[in-house]
Amino acid sequence: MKLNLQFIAFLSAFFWIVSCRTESQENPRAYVEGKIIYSSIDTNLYRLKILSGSTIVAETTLETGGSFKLSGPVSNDGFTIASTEKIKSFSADKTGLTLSKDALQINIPKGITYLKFNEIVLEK
Amino acid sequence: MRIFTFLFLVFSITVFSQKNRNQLDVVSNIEAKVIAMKPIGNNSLAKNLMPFYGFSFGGNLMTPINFGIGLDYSQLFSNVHYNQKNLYGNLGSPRITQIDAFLTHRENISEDFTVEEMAGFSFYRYSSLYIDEKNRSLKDQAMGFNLGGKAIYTLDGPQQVFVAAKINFYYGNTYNENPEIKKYYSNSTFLSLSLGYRYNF
Repeated sequence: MKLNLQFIAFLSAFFWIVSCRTESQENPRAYVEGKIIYSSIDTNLYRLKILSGSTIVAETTLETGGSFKLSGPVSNDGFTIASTEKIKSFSADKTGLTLSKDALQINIPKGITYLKFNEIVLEK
Repeated sequence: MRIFTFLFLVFSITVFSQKNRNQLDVVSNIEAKVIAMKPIGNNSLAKNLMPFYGFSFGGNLMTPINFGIGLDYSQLFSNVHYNQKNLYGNLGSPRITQIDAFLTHRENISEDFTVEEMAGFSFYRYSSLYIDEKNRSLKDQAMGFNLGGKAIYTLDGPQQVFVAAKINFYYGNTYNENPEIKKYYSNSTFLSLSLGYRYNF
């Protein structure tokens, strides 16, 4: 039985080492859904993206009717939604969202990871 | 990778050096296997990814009363479903490293056939490469438990082949403020089937 005890001791030590590293990690993931309203864009070329810093972490085309679902891993510092066409206006279920100067991006503040847009209206 | 090689060495030394010194009836074996694994349920690993394929190495210690303990180390690889990229993210090459530690019970059916049941804990490391950024990957660690069964056929003396079926429960750490979404991306259940070769000492 000495052998088994040794093996169990080894296993406990192993799990102890392993468990030290599990606690610290948290992986925030953004999930955005909603509807794009447009009149004359080429939907084959249109892309909606989630940017975390400068990295594209998610990208999608539009479903028929302009609805979309988009998800990707982000950092704790908020994220950005980027559109390939200029945005005229938008309305969402959370406050604090801002449209960038070039009207191509919506900045999402820290702390928001789930977002539902009633509509994002494009200029074209 | 290096740490696992080291652990495997420690494991082998503990197992094999003790055997000759103590005249115990504890028998040991090592095994290698190929695995097909399918996550099931309503979750990201099941819906957004294709089935995983991979390989595994492991070892068992079996006492005379037919109860034993075992350890498995597996590497599993998958791909993203093309039409699910919007929900999975701009990521590729999903990979799971899985370590299972379990208790085993053996039943001898006939001279050549043996059945083993396993139950234990699992530790997972999940990673997926960022497509837009070189050399960076999304990482997560998960805990869980496993239940399984093994049908073993003895070829000759120490050599055996087996088929194993296993169910693994996976609890990861992805965060989203919407609990449904959090659950969708964090948890999963894996069904796996494997074919392997075992050598007894």
